[in-house]
Amino acid sequence: MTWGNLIMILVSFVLMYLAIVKGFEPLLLIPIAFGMFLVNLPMAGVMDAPVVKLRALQAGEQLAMGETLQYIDGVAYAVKQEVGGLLYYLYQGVKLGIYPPLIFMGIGAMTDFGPLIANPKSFLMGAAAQLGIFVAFIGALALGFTGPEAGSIGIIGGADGPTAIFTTTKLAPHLLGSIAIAAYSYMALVPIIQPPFMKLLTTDKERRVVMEQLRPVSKTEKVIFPILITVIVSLMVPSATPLVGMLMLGNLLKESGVADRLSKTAQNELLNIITIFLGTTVGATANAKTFLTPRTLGIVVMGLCAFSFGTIGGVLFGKVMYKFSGGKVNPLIGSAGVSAVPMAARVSQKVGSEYDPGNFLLMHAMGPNVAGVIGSAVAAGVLISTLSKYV
Amino acid sequence: MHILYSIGEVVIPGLLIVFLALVIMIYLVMLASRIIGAMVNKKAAKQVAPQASVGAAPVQATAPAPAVRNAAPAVAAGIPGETVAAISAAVACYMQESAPGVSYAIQSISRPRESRPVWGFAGMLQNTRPF
Repeated sequence: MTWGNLIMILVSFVLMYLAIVKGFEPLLLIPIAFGMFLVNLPMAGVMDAPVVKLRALQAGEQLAMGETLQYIDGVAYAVKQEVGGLLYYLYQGVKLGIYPPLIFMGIGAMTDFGPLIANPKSFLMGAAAQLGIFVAFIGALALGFTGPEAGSIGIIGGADGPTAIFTTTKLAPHLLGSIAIAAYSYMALVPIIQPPFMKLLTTDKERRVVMEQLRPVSKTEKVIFPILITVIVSLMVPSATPLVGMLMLGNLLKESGVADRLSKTAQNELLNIITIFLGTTVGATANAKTFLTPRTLGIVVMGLCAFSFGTIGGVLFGKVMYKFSGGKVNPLIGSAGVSAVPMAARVSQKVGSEYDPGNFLLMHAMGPNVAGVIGSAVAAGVLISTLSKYV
Repeated sequence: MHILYSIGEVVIPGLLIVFLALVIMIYLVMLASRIIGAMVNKKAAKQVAPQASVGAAPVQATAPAPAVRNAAPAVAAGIPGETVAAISAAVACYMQESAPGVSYAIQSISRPRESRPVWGFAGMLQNTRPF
C-alpha cells in the first residue's frame, strides 16, 4: 500500500462523510466514495483486468491445475486465464457508454416536459447556460490540457453527471474519476454556487417579476414532443442521439400512459441499479496514480468556472428575455438552464421567494431546467464530434 | 491544440449549433402545438355543430350569420343583465363592423378566472416551502 492509496482512502472517507452526514447527493456520492475506497485497498484487485498467462511446455511436462493446452505456431503452450476484478467487468458499462444513456432513460421517465412545451422560449435559456462548457473548455486549454481533455472538463458545466461521464469516456477516459467526482460535487453545491451570481446580475425589480401562469399542455403534445426532439437531435448532432434518444424513450414511456410498468421500472429499479453500478465503478477509476496529480486541481478549478459561467450565461439571457418580453420574464429562471434537475429550478424558486414570498417560479424554472438537459446533451454531441479526431 | 484555433473550431460552432438546434426545437414545438390546437378546435366545433342545428329555426337556416348574431350569449351565473348589456355595448363600440354583414357575435360572458384560486395558492405554498 502506497501513501497515495492511503490519501485516496481518506478522500473516500471525506466523501462518505459529506454524503451521509451532510446529505450531499448521497445516492451518488456513497457508491462513488465506496468504489474509491475499494480500489485503493491493497491486494483487493477489484478493478484488475483479466490476465492470460502463457507458458511454453517442455517435452513431457504436465499441465498444472487450471491450465489449458494451446498450440501456437506448432509450439505447445500452457494457458492460464485469471479472471479480472468484479468492478472491472461492471466498468465495461461505463467504458462502452451504456450506463449514462440508461440513466437518461430513467431521468426521461421522471421528467415532465410540460413547462417547456407550454413556454418553448425557455429552450433559449437552456442554450445560453451552456456558455460555461465552452468557457471552461478554453480555460482548460490555457492550463495545458489537450483538446479532448479540455472538452471533457468543459462538459462539467453541463451540470449533468451522465452527460459528463458519457463525454469523458469518449474523449478522455483517463480523467473519468476526477471529472465525475468534480461534476457530482458541484451539482450538490448548486444552491451555494448559483445565488451570488443570480443576485449580482439582477436588479430588485427583475427579481420580483411574477410570471403568468403556464397554459395547460395536452397529452397529444406531450406524446409528440419526445419523438420530435429525437428526430431533430439525431439529424443535427448524431453523436448526442444515445443520450437524447434514451431520455426521450423514457419520457415517451411515461407520457404514452400505456406502458406504466416500463415507465416505473425505468424511473425506479433500473435507474437505481445503474446508479449503483455507475457510481461504484466511476469511483473505482479514482486510483492514487491518476487522481493525486496537479491536473485534478485544474479540473476542480475549471469545473467551478464552468458552473459559474453557465449560471452567468443563463441569467444574462434571462435578462435579455426580460427586456424583450416587456418585463414578463423573471431573469432568475435563466440560472436553471444549467440542468442539475431539479436542484437548479429549486434555487430559482428559493431566490425568487426571498424577494417576494408569493412568487412561485418553480414551474417556470423547470422549462429552462429540462431544456438545459437537452442543451447539454447537444453540447456534448458537438464536443464529441469535433474533438474525437484528436483522441 | 491552440486556444485561438479551438475558438474557431469548437467554441463558436459549438455555441451556434446548440442555439440553432434549440431554436429549431422552439419553432417545431410551437408548430406542433398549433396544429394540435387547431385539430382539437375543429373536433370541438364538429361536436357543437349538430347540437346548434337542432335548435335552429327553418328561416334562420337560410341566413346563418344573423342567426348567430341574434342568439343570446351564454352568461355565467351571477352576472346581472345590466352588466351583460354594458359589456355588449362596450364590445360593440370597440369592435365595429369591418364591413356590412361582416360582424362578430358574443357567444358567452363569464367571470375571468383568478390568477390562482385560494386553495391552489395554499397548495402551491405548501409544496414549494421546503425549497
